[in-house]
Amino acid sequence: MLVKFAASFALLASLSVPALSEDAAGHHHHEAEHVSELGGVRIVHAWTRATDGKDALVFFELENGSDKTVTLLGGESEAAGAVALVGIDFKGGEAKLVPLPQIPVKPGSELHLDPESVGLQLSGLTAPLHQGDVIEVEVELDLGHLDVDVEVEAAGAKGHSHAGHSH
Amino acid sequence: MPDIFLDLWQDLAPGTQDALILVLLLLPAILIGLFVTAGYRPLALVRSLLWRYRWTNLMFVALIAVSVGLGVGLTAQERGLRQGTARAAEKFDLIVSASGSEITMLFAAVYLQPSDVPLLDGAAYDRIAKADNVQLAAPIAFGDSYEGAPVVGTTPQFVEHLSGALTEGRMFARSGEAVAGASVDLPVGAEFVPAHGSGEGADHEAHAGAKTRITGKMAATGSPWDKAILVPVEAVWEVHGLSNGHAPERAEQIGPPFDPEYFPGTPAVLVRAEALWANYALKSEFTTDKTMAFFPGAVLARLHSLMGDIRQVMSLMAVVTQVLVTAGVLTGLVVLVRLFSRRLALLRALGAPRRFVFAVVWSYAAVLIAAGALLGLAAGFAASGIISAEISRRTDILVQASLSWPEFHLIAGFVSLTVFLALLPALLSLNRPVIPDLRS
Repeated sequence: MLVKFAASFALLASLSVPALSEDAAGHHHHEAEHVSELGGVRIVHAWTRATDGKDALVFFELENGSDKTVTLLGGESEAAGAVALVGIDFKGGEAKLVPLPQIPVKPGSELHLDPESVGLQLSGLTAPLHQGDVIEVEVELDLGHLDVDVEVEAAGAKGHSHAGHSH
Repeated sequence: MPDIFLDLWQDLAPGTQDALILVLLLLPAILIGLFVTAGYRPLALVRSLLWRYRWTNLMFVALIAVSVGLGVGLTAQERGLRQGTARAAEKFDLIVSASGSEITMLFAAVYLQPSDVPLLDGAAYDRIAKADNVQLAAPIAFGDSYEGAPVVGTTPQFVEHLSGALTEGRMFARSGEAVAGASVDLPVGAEFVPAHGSGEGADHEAHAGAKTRITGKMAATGSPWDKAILVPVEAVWEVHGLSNGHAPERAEQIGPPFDPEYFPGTPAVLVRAEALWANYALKSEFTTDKTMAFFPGAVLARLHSLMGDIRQVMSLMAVVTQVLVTAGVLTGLVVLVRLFSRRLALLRALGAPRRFVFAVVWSYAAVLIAAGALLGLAAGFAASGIISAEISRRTDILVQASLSWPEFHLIAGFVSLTVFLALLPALLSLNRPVIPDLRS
């Protein structure tokens, strides 16, 4: 009897836990916004890679259309324990993640966060990221916070599936 | 439950992970060996079999060694090349040039492979030199050569950044002086006249009169810059009949600051920032319609990943070759077992259990495989060392081959798979009839 009870409890738990964790992680499947804007600063084509691990890197293009220097500082997200700005340093032939305090972007310039230079590192992901998911990340700039929809691409993706489109 | 294992695994140091993988890969071979030889001591007989058919055995071992050596050499060589090219680019934090191909510029500015590229003008250089957080903005003006050695115009600060203190002599201090790379065949005090261009098409008369004296020698960098001759960028402009980067009242000055009005242009500028984050800001600032900024390390990583894809295909081919050769060797063993079937039948007739005969034949095959694999490891390492030395000689990029975990893993996997396959000839030897074999 006890075994039966335990088994049905386990079954219930296995059915309900993923649903709960998906909510907790802030995952949703609505059509992602490709552009976020704040005071002339636009963030477009935010993406990350599908993973079962604890960490992920988020990439996007930051366009500073304002008339003053804007500084990218980091971010936060319900989908991860912490979000930090990291440089991807290739010196010595191996990619190393190096924490960065900030990156200033001059007026009229663009900063491309991509797998060859800079990313926002999500650590302690609350749930695996599956291709097609969208997670929300709040990008921290010196002029305020900007909510960005991050699309989850394939595990080995090298860019946003929509990159190259002008918005 | 698997999550716990995954977390535990991820917490291990990379070296421990590699060691564990090696043990896991070797484990099947060890278990098979323990199982097959349990309770017997087949080695004395194996030794006599090895000696009795030594030439055939040697050939089998050599075949296995060559196929294993191919695989080992390939992975060691590819890694050596990757590390060598990365090391050669290490001092080049950020390159800014006129818009064009990053790869062409990487080859030209970092590896000194001559290329015709558009120039950055004085205004662009001035913006770079005066940008926030820039510690070093050195023009790299290539295009001239002397007997195959590139003659590159730059600043004393760049020379110091590239190779540290000079090993001999002093820094160039005026036009007509030069500092030679460690492998340049010119001693301090030697004089030469640079040619315009490089290779077959170089014009040796164009800069006649621009006699240049070597005043110092750089320390070795393990990069093509060891074969370069570095001159003040002012001298490069002057020999081409251009203004020398400084207003007439400061015409004798060498190095920055340059006057944008008198700056004729440079193919590339090496930029070094005070902090890593500033490099990314500068890259974003100088990625414009007219200028291009890139991290050589990142472009190189892109090339390496392409090379990695090719390596994977070649590694697969090497593994297939290894397995095919081993299958051939095992087939040969089956034939060989027929040759000494009379001895085995005699053993059986004397009362040796079938499992003992099985253990003898398997151990014999396993010894051949293990010897071939170890010899292959040595052969691959040696071959890779020879090829590396040749690549270093030809490209001036210091390539050092070394054996590392991937090679050990490859061999461990190979040994486990093939000693498992070696159970087959051992099994076949059991099925031979004793009486006819004794009579044969």
